[in-house]
Amino acid sequence: MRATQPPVPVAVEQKSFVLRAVTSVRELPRSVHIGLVIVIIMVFAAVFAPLLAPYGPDDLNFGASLLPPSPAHLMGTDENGRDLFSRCLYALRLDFLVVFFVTYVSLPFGVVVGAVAGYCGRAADSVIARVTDIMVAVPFLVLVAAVVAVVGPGMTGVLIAVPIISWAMYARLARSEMLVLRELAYMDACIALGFSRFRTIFRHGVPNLLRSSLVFSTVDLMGNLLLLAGLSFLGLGAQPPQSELGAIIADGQSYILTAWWLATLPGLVLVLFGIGVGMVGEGLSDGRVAGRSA
Amino acid sequence: MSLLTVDSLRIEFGPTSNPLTAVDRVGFSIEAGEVVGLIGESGSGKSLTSRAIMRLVSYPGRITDGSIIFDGRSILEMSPRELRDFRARDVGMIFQDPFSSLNPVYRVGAQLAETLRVNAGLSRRAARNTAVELLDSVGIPDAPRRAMSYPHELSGGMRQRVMIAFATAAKPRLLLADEPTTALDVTTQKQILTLLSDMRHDNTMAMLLVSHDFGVIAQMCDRVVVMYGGRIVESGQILDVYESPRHPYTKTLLASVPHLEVGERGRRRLIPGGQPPQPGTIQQGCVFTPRCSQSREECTRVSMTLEPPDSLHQSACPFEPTSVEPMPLPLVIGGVT
Amino acid sequence: MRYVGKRVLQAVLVLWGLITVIFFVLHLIPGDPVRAVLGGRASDATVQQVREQLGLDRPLPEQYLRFLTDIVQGNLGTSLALNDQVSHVLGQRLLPSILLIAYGMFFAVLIGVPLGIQAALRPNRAADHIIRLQTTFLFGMPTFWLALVLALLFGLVLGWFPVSGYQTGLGGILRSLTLPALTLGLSLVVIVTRTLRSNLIEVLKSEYIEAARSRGLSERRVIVKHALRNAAMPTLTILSTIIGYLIGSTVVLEQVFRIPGAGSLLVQSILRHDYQTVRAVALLSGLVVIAAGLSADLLQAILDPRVRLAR
Repeated sequence: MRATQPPVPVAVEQKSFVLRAVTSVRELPRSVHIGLVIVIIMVFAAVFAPLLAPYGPDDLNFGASLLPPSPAHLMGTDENGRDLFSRCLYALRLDFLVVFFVTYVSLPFGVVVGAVAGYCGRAADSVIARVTDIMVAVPFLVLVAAVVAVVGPGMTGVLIAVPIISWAMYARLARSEMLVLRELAYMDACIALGFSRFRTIFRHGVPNLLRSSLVFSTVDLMGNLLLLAGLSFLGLGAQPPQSELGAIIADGQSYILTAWWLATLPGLVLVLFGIGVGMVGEGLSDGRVAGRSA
Repeated sequence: MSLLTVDSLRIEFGPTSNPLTAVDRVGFSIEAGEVVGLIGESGSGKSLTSRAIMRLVSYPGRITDGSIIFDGRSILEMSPRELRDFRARDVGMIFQDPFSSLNPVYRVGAQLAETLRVNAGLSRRAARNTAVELLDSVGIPDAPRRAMSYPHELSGGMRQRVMIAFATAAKPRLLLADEPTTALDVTTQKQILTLLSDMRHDNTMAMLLVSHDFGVIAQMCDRVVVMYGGRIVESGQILDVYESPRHPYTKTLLASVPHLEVGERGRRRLIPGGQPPQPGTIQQGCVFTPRCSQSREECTRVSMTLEPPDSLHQSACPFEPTSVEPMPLPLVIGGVT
Repeated sequence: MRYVGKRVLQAVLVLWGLITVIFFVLHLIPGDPVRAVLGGRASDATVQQVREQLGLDRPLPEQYLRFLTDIVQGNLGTSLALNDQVSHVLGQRLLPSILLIAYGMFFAVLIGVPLGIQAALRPNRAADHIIRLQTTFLFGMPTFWLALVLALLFGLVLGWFPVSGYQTGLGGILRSLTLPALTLGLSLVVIVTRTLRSNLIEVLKSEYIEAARSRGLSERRVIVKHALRNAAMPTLTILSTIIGYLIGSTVVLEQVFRIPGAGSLLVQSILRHDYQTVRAVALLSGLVVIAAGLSADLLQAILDPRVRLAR
């Protein structure tokens, strides 16, 4: 359909799409705006951590160890005199990077498997359906931990383990969408037009089922962030001296009586990000807004 | 004194500052033992009106004006305790969809027995037995076994019979039937209507029958009240309204029924001129104006009062029907004459 | 009855699949578990000997079959690191974890159910706002961080509960598990309240509730007998699906509070490269999830007569 349209209307439509997007963002409830601002600022801070951090993440200064929060050290310092604020900025950078990678490696793989299974049906479908049932059955953290056990603790383990497990969720989602899509007239039309299966599935099916997977991936990003922090907290993810929020909190646990800020403030960074994402999600899932965008 | 008197009832939705009016200035009465029909398209406010009598208008809807008097008692001013007694003893209600008006997780006999235990103070055993008797009395074959069924195991007609057993268990003086046959197929419809009319004669019970189907109303009712856009547009004895409708809406409504035969629900043609109005802010003039074939300029200024005041046959249209195509008169109207 | 049989069979199939997936995932991933546990200094001959002893030198299908038959016989293998039967090691660690999960669920229900009911009955009032707030705040809150904050507050500042360790006996269990269970409960409350609230709102809209009211039943009776039971079922199903998440949280919480449960065993085993024990814990937690799903479905079949026929 797109190919048959003359170029000018396409341009107009794209422009109006942008305009529409801007106006629809404007019409959203205020909580979404606040949430978006929080998320954008934090992502920005993470990306530009090297420019924004007042100290290096591993700058030792034994003369300034275990200092409480002050204007010089916004979040205080740890037992080695490292500036906690700077470490958290770098940690956020590492966390976002890893989480983004594992989430968007799992997504295309899962979507492709799910779409093919859903479209082709029969044995392939039942096998995929059962396999994903099983993958979803095991507690995520436990299964990832098991894979980490074989690969060995560390970021490599996490980078391998998470996609191995989490593609299944996307496959499930894509498969169920494809089962519905397959029955629609335009998919039949593709067959009637003599398109290859490949073209039917990937050019005409996948773009339509991608939306739900992308929506789910935003929730999944948050889940993976917490998982990564959790694994690192347990000592299975990031290894010292890498700065990662969960690992920083785990370090601070031993000083919880003498230096409360070490364990609590880095957690607040995660909580703040969660509040931002939560506000956006809550606002968008509000019936009023969902009805409008549908 | 009438058994039930509804007077200038108003039901609103939405924010208090800018309410949407769904029912406005609705008033009618029902005498003891009388059957009154309430007819209108979906969205005309007829179901809402019948629910208001039970005080079942739920959030975000609310009754903002008017009064409902049952046997000298004001329903809108009842305490929760009085309201419960009123619902339990004086009035019964049947809903449109028998599929969803029974709790799916309890056996029908147990649900019926619960009501009897709570409302009539029967013992567990007595309630069970009475429940079976009641099911038997509404024509459910093999009642003892059926009492042990779950709602989904019964057919639509059976379920509606169970609902009728619920509604009439306490021998109420008024039965509210909100589209009791709409969800049923034609033959079952007929059986249910027969059952309702039997129950009514046996118990000398008044009834408010809400329907969009003139055939059903004509078969069952003594009088009819026609609603449109939250307002009453016409009311009168069934035959008067039927043979000489005075409001243009009633006329078009009747004209859109191809064959008025008892038990047969003809496909109604759409009334020309679009959709019935949505609940909204109160406008000036007659609500039917936008779709009325005989509308004139004054229509946006008239007050929609039912005229003549003391007559049995009232219409909210101040203009006498001048013209219009001759009404195709029905061939059969069963149950009325 | 047929439904029950079908559902049990399905659960067994999923369990078999789980065993298979765990076996293959752990075997196909690069890395030598034996070398890992023995350390770099072990000679090639020793490694080879241990491999033979464990049957790791056999072809994959043969290993798989042996693994399967062992499990059916309840034999989870021997832990190289602990030099003990895995089933024995695991057995000692189970009780604290089970108690923690049960106690946590208790907190979740204790806080979540009344809150969910209140929010459903009075939309846009206090309880409803609390639900929104907790969703916003608890969404991105790591369980281990919440645990630390609660430990800091109730354990260290107020001194009400010990912040680490596990004690036996009813009093000891209550003392040592209250904080971790409260953390677990709080992280679950969001899900409980939200699902209960939305299900209850749905149910309260249905006509049989209106019909029950129209019969003059008291509001209390309508809600408790007619609405709550219908709303409880989908809530139960949701609870059973998040049991996996619950187990994950338990792993972390046991670590924070130093509780000698199956979760801390898992973490220790991973760090010790005790691959047999890790496998057993993964398998067991999968079994728990499958069993939870099965019992939720069966319970639903008891509570809701429609299920028995519909599926």
